[in-house]
Amino acid sequence: MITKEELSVWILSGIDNALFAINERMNEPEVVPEPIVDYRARVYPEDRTKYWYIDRRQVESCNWRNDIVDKGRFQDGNYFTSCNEPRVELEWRALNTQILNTIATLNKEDNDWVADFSDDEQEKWYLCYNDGNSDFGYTNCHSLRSHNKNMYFSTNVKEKLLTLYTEEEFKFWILKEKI
Amino acid sequence: MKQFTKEELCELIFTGIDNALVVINQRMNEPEVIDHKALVYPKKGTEYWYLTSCDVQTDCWDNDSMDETRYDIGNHYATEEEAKLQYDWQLLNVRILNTIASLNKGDNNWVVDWKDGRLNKYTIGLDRDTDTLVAGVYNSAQYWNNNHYLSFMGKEKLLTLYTKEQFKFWLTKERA
Repeated sequence: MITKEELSVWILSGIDNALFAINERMNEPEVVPEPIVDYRARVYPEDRTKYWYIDRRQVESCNWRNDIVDKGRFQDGNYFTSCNEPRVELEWRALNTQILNTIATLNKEDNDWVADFSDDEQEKWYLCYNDGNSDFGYTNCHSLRSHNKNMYFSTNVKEKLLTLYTEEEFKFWILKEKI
Repeated sequence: MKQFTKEELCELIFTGIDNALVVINQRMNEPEVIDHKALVYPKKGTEYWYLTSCDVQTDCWDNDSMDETRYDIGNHYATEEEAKLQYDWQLLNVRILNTIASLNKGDNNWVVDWKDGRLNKYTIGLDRDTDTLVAGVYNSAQYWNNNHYLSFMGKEKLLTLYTKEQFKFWLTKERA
């Protein structure tokens, strides 16, 4: 038979252990779950925030009203937080049109050359800027494709293309930054 | 005033014609000078498509300033399909660039620094041989403007956020 005293010791010892565990748990630092960030979410500006946008070839501004027009501009990239950004964008678009047209014309003259990514033997070139040595030139696309087809040109075209625009123009085209 | 004889007049006219022929022949034998930078506008009456803030619209080329403005800044598409493709691409492009900006901000405000040759800068590319997406590392050669580049952590996360088809479309502007 278990005596009353033995039983009391066990119960008290159990209570002690439980209290110890409770105190330990209470002293543990609270684990705050990391907030889940939706990196794909569109974060619209606050109401009445002034912004700039391109209307035809003009730069216009207005205040954010969170309406369908504002959201439409934001979603297709026609939302700028400063007056200078859309001006640079317009200038870049005009140059982009001109350079892409030039590439298309030169490729056409070179026996209707078209970039064929299933042909490993075909040399395909595109422009790049090397900041390390402030050098500007073209790169042969060996295996990595990172551009739209209309930006590639043939071997015969690459020398000619470089003579048609200034280095500043090409740099602006690639970097979209005014020097 | 001395009157010209019929013979004198004939001689003068024939000399003039001879000179003109020489110039014409010379001009015709000259190689055609092509202005590779010139924009060649469409013919009057050609239908074309362009993008507005929320959809694709069509118009007829009238040679007016509105047509030329659209053409000059690349908002001119010969077919509706091209315009729709561009519209879809623009939406995705803004979305991915915004994501890249958020990821870089979340990674201790990571900023691409081209002066730092040891800083690894990543952007997404398509391996032609294996048809897989790769995050290429770039230290000095720049192919895009700065908003396309991410840190190591950023590129790992980015690859999980969009499908392969979306990335392929973003890079190539071609539908699978």
